[in-house]
Amino acid sequence: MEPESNQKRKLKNGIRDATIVAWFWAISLFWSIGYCWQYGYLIRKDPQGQVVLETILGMPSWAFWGIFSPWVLCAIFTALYGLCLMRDDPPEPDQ
Amino acid sequence: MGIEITWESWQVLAAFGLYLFGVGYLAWFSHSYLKKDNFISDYFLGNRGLGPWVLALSVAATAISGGTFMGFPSLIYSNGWIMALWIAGYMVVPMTGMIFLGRRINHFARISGSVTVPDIFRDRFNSPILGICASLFILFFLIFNLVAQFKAGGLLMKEALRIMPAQAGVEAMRDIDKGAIEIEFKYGDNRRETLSVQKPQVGSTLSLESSSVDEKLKKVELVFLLEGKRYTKTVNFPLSKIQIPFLQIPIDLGYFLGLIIFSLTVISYTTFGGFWAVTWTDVLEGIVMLVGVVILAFLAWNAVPALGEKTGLAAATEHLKNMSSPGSEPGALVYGPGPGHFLTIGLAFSFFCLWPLASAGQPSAMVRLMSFKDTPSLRRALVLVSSYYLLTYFSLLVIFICARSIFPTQYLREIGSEGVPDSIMPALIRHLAHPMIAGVLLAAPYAAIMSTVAAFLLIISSSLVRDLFQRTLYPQASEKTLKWMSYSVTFSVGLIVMLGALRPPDFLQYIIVFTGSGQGAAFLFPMTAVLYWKRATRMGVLAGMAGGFLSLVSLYLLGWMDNWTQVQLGMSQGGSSLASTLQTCLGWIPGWGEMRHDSFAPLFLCGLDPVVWGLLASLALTWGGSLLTRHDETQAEKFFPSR
Repeated sequence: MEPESNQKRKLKNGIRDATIVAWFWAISLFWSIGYCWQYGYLIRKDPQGQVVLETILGMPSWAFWGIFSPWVLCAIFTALYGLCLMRDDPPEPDQ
Repeated sequence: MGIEITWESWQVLAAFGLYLFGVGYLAWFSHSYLKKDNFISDYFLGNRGLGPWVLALSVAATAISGGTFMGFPSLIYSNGWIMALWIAGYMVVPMTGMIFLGRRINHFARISGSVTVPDIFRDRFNSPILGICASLFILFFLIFNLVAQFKAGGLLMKEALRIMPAQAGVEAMRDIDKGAIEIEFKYGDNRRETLSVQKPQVGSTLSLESSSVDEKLKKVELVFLLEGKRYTKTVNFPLSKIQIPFLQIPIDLGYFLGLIIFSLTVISYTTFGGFWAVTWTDVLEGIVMLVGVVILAFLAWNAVPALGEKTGLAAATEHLKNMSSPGSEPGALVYGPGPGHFLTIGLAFSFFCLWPLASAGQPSAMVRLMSFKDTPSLRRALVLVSSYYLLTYFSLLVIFICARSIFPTQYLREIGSEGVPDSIMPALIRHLAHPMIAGVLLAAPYAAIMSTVAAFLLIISSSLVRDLFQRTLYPQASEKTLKWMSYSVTFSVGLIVMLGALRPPDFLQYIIVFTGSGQGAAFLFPMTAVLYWKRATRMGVLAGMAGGFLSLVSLYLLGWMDNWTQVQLGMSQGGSSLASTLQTCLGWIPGWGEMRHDSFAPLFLCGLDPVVWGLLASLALTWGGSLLTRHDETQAEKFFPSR
């Protein structure tokens, strides 16, 4: 078995990863569900009773700001995390 | 019985065959890769040698299943833009699915020598009972899921074959009741068959005005009249059936042949090549899926009928805005909660929990994480998976929003004239693409199903061979015995599931959601405690696993009971005595008596999906159970060193 301090460091790295992921999930949930509930759950109509829909890039604006944009931001953050922020461990020998 | 296949279908099959040839080659290549001296670890875990590309594509290909390519498209087609919120949780799935447990589970499996997920539970507490329980829960959910996946594979292959109906003539047509028409067909050998056809459901009862039969195309066109407005419905001649000796009801010949082809392909390569075959074919399948959806998005975008200056997705959204779905007001396809209150805000919240958390708790995902080579491989794979999901899910949304404007009603369950929503994916492919291209595009959903089935087959086989046979019943088994056990068990499980899929259940997407959320509820928090919490105990983890499993299954059972009660009470005034008793005893439960979209749907307690309650119960029991029982300091020290 390798020196204990090395194992302890790996455990700390794992806990750090898990904590960041938990916050990442909570923030995404809060934004997407909150935004879509506020702007996507009420059918807007003009005085003649016609449905009014604002679109961005062909999709409803609530879907653009509530889902598409945060999804792209999440992908960027995930890439940054994977390429720059996540710490490497030396591989373990298979037992 | 003669089988008539069109020239167009032969072209589709030729292109499809090329893809299957690639899969076969990879299986053969993987088989030669298997080492003789460490068979079990190699067959089930690939000797922990996955690099970034293979890891990324195998994680993505395993997660994307028949549900993604058959069930999800049908839901977008039926419910419109609200499905973007339904699937939105996938924006965090790469992080939750790969990073939350990834580094730690890989490290843990290496120091304990674990090969399977039940191994981890067993090795952490030195508890065979925990390993056996984990194996049984995995078997329960995965066998359910596999039957649904096999069904999807059979349906897809049926669409590729498109066997023509047998030659027949229409003998009689009867308006049997308010909701249906009965058509009687007569074949050349004097055999007769009656087909009951649902009338278009537009809120009022329609009466049949006229009909015309096209014996060459083997179709009947029915025209209904209501308040001066005409509704047409096209009915295909009945498909050829085949009688299976042990089944009482004849089954559709196209589906039967499709299921046989699908099953033999996937069972053979999984049995023959083990983990390496599954991961290498995952790579091919992952590439085929991505290329397939991107090409199909391009074709669908261009096929949308222009509306003024608007084209593509903008025109499709405008079409959806102006459409009224059956039973819903205009605008329901572009705003929440969707037609028929499909996605209430409570369910939207539930699905944002389900996808990220349940995917982290899936044993199939955990096995992939146990097998990567080193953390740089994990980091790079994370980036690839994240881009992969973004591209795939947005392409699917675009494709099937466009599909709704291309086929405004043809594939709707209530008024569709061409088919049911589940067949929209293969139908759209065959509508938009040249047959040779269609063959390649049909390989995309087929690949999605194959990769998931192969991974699940291997997990079931590893649970039986490694966890139950080798580690519980017969620890002295030789490498040779284990090798033949692994081959024969993988093959037998595949065959049994194929037999189960001969008469498949109707609820593809709900079964996939049920099994996915069940595994998440049973395994996520117990596994988190095993990996991160020194104070966790065997009893706490067992309670968490059982609690998550039981609460989720109970809510599904309550939902089925409620659905049955509603049908019984609706059929006769007062209903049967059992239905009345259930209504009296269980009517107080929040969510009881609510209308559901499907008879497989669960009870949504307080408007939330069972996965939320399952996860909460599992968390509370893992935590509380561990605090209330004594933990083994010496055992924990191996995995949680104090220095």
